[in-house]
Amino acid sequence: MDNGTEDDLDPAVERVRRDLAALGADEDSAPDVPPEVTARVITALRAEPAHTVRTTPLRRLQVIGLVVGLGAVVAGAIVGVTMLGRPEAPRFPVGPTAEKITVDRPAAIPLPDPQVIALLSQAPDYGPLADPQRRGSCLGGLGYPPGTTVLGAQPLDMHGQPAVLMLLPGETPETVVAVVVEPGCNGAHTGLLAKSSVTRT
Amino acid sequence: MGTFGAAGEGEEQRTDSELLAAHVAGEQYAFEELFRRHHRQLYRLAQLTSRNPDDAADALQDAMLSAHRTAPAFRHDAAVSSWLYRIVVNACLDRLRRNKTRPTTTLLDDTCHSGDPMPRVDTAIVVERALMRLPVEQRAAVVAVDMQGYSVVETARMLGIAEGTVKSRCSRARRKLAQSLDYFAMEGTAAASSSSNPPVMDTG
Repeated sequence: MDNGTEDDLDPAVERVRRDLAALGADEDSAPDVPPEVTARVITALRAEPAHTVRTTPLRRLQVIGLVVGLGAVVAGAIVGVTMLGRPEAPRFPVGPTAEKITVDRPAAIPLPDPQVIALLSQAPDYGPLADPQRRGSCLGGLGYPPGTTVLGAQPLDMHGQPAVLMLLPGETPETVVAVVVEPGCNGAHTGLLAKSSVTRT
Repeated sequence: MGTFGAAGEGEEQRTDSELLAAHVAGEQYAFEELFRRHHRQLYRLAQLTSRNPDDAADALQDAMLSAHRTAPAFRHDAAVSSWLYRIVVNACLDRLRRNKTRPTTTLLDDTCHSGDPMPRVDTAIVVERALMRLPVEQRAAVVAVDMQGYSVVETARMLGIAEGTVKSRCSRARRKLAQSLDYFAMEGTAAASSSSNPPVMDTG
């Protein structure tokens, strides 16, 4: 994604771009809002109807939905019992047993824990997020402040599509947060595909 | 306007996500609390991408009403604050696109910081003031691309202009900012070939 011009190599211009990116997330330095502007917005918001949880649904639709739902449960139970009662169990290829397969994280992050942790000791490979401006924008969109250190990174394949895995500081020193985002991740659209907390070993 | 929010003194402040969820669940003042938490940055973004304070206020209100209504559709794939910023910037850029034929009005001056209790030599304030001195067309482009991370393609579409125009506006804006912030001298670059200071040509 080309967001730059021939100015990109100019250190002064690069500094401007960094300062602009920082300004975009720097709430503390934002000036006060004229009271009349705040009041006007608040008045408009209070005039809006609140979102409501439907507490009085149409009775007929509710009954129909209940019947369909119960029917699905019953059908699923029948299928399940039938499958379990089949004389021939499915054959699985000989391979590691469940005891040998380490599953210590949701399947969303397509790398096992040891490989994720190993990235901490390698130079980060940001792949399509190599541009610091775009990477900063991506991190901002994920809710991380400017200057957040990326502890590790690697391009990878996520269910058949290219993606980037980044390791970010966790809530404790013993953990890191692994996020997988689309290559076009930016402040407006992060394309977050997976997120998980990983314990350092 | 009265007090706001369900959290009283001593109660732990709810996260943005919790407030948004409460709003979607029907809590009356949750979105208002969310707005108040971020309204300074939201108004800053509106001012930076609007022709004048009136447009900024209009766009901010439109944006917050839109966010209020579409909150149930938010997928939490980004920070709530980023989502709010994006809605405000989108509203402002859309307003600029629809009003392209309007003449550029007087640039905003420093009165946006008239509420500061004391002058602060702060990078953010200095950069913001330099931004406000740019023409709104350049300001909007560089805020969208460099501050909010929109692609050139997205920015061009939102502003209803060509991608090349976005790039040239960003380039001019960045160089003007670098000049007004004296970054060229600080970084020791010989980039004196800015549009406002063309090099002396030897025609001899």
